[in-house]
Amino acid sequence: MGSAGMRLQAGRLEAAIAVDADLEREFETLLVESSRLAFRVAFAVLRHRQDAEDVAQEAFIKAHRHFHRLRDRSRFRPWLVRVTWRLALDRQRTDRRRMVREHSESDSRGAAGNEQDAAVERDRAARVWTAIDALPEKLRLVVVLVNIEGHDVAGAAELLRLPAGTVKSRLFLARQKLKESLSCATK
Amino acid sequence: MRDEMITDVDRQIQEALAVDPSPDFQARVRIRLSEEPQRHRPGMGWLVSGVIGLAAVAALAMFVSSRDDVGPRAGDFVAPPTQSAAALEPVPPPATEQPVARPLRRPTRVNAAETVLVPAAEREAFRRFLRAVTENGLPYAVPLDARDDAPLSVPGITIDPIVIAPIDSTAE
Repeated sequence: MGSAGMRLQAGRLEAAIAVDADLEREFETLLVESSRLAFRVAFAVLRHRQDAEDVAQEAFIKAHRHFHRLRDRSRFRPWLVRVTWRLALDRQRTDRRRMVREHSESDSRGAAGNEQDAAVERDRAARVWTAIDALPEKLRLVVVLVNIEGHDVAGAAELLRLPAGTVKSRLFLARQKLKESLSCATK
Repeated sequence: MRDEMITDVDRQIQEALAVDPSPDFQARVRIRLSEEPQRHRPGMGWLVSGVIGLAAVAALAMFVSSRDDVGPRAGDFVAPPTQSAAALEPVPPPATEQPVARPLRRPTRVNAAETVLVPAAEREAFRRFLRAVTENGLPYAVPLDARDDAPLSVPGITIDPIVIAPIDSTAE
């Protein structure tokens, strides 16, 4: 009875280790597929490369800790987006380095041509980002996700696990508010 | 005009977000993951609990079996009060019919204690002796005025003389 019980326990242990190895391989695949997404979500909030990498890395660590509980693997990317977004917002509130914003490549390209045009471009980008930062969080996330990697409404709806109609209406509201903010800013 | 503005805003956002992580980003994540403590596997709690439970049951079984092999210990029982002192008193000893041992900790060991501490044959012999002493008195008499330090009086010993007949030398 005792030895049979021990053999049963040992068998379960081996099975658990095998399952663990499978989970690690699966997580590695998802890390490769989703690292750019996590980084860009964090970058949309922080707009600082190093900070965004730190936050994305923290999100992956967190995801790895709880990965074995995630039965539906198709939920990994939405889950990662939510975790990354939340961590980035926390970092934005606390980290003073967010004040040092990294300019986009378009700014750099503009700067290469004409210094005055580059200054205008930087100013316009700053106004756009200020308007986006002023959006309510739900609308802000929709705007960011729709514009990451050319996601459309359906892609954003999948990441947010929301109906496409909800995402569409939020996107419409967000654009309305952006129009108002930017119109006021240009006047 | 406003649609152009929205298009422009979308373009701005897309360009701003067209940034990739550094090439070593995934490698740094892997290093961090390797530094993480071992993740708790699902179901391992039950496994560990099962192993600990089996070990505890085995240890308990070994402990109980080892105690049974030793048998009753002297400290577990109290020997009966010396019945000789009780029996030597004038009152007849009904106590001889009382249980010989009183268990202190484990009542189930009473019979075993009787067997171990006072064998039945010895107990019966002692009981007969006490009964005989009670009914008939001691088998020897001790003078009431006897003193331990008094000199012993030994009566005189008379030895009759031995008569030796003379040897007849003429017989050869």
